[in-house]
Amino acid sequence: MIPKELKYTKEHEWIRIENGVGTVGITHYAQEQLGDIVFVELPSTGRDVGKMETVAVVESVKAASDIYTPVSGKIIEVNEELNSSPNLINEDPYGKGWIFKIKLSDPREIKELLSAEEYEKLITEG
Amino acid sequence: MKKTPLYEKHLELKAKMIEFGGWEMPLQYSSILEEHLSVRNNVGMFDISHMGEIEIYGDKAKESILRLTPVHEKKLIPGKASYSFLLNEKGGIIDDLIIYTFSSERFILVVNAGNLEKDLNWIKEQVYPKTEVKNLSDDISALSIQGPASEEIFKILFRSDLSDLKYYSFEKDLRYNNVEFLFVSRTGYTGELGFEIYARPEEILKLWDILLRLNVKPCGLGARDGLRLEAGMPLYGHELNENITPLEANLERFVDIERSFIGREALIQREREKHLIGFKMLDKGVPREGQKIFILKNKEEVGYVTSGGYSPCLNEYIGMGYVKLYDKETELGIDIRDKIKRAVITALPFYKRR
Repeated sequence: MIPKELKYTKEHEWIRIENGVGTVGITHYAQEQLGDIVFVELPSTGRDVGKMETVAVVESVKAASDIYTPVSGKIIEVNEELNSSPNLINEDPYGKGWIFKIKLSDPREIKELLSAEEYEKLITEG
Repeated sequence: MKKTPLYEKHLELKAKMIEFGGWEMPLQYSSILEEHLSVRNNVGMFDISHMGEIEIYGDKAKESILRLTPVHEKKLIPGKASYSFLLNEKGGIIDDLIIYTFSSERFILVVNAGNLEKDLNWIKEQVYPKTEVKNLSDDISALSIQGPASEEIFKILFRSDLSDLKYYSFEKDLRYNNVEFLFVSRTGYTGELGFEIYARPEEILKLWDILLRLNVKPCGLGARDGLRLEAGMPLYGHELNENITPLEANLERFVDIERSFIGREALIQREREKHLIGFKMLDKGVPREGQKIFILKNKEEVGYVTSGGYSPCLNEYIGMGYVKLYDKETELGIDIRDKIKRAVITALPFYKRR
């Protein structure tokens, strides 16, 4: 359940990078821990953000969780579908449940992220 | 941490367990929303064995109940269950509970798990002489079966119609095949049709398996909290505590102010400092306990949220809270993580069974 081609953070975000743009969501493991997601506060587009800054909030039945951006850059798109169907994150965390897209300002930051193997190790060893 | 007799059953079903009132209890088995909707649309069951049971008996048992709680005396009829409270001298709520009247000389109080020791001490201090107070909590376990299809389950178990048993009534010494029950009541904490079964721990274990075979969905504390919120029911430690009176909690219909009981003077004299309200969000966002409530127009802080969440039945974000100013038309602001989001006062309950 951990896609090999993605990069990860210790805080359970994933990022898919294509042509200098990263698509960000939360991992299958994270959505399972959170339980039913009932609301997502999306970031505003056009905002410049720094690596690991809080940009969104995911609220489950139980609690609110901050979502961090794995890299610095400008938020260029958000997943508007989450406004009406926040449960897409539960159903398809790596697909329809993506949260925002960011134009990378410093592609060197990618190297600091976790690989699929490293992330898997993190969640299995706690 | 204490475990109910059903603890192993919860683990077998891979429930997520959490600490609640000193007990290790299931938060959820599958999904909280799924469990919630199964109670609204079909039937679910809850392990409520953590609740405390206190027996009060003797010649002066009824007088002791009337001294300890503001219950209406005419409701203390054998076979009836009554919602009530233990109040302190200041009129604050020590606990909310259900009084089961077996006779004028024997009552069982069902109290919140986390308050059992506190309640026992208070009750022992306050009862009249020659009134016995016994903690039956280790001897009695319980299951709550809730939802529109609970009627079918009741028929299967007891070969009788649930309509025979009126709301807030109970029958004692029922049995299903070789399973014996101490008492079965038409009560619940979800706003649905339902009933609660009290029995010895080993009998509750057997009943759990029977109900699983009847496809009654196991539901955890997560669903229970959402259901009771939709039904506008207060929860001890959230809407109720020792500094809040039943009048502030809009529960005056359960208070017989005409007769004497502990806390009565304070209820008459004490000014209501706040009022419990229900509200729903106009802006999207999930209100949570402890968040501040403002009057939107002038940004005056007027109260705080006691419970909040998403209502799957209404597809809205709802909450309860205390405010010192009370005007149904007033638009409120809820401070959700440093953003003021608009909300409006709504009549309770949010959800009413059809």
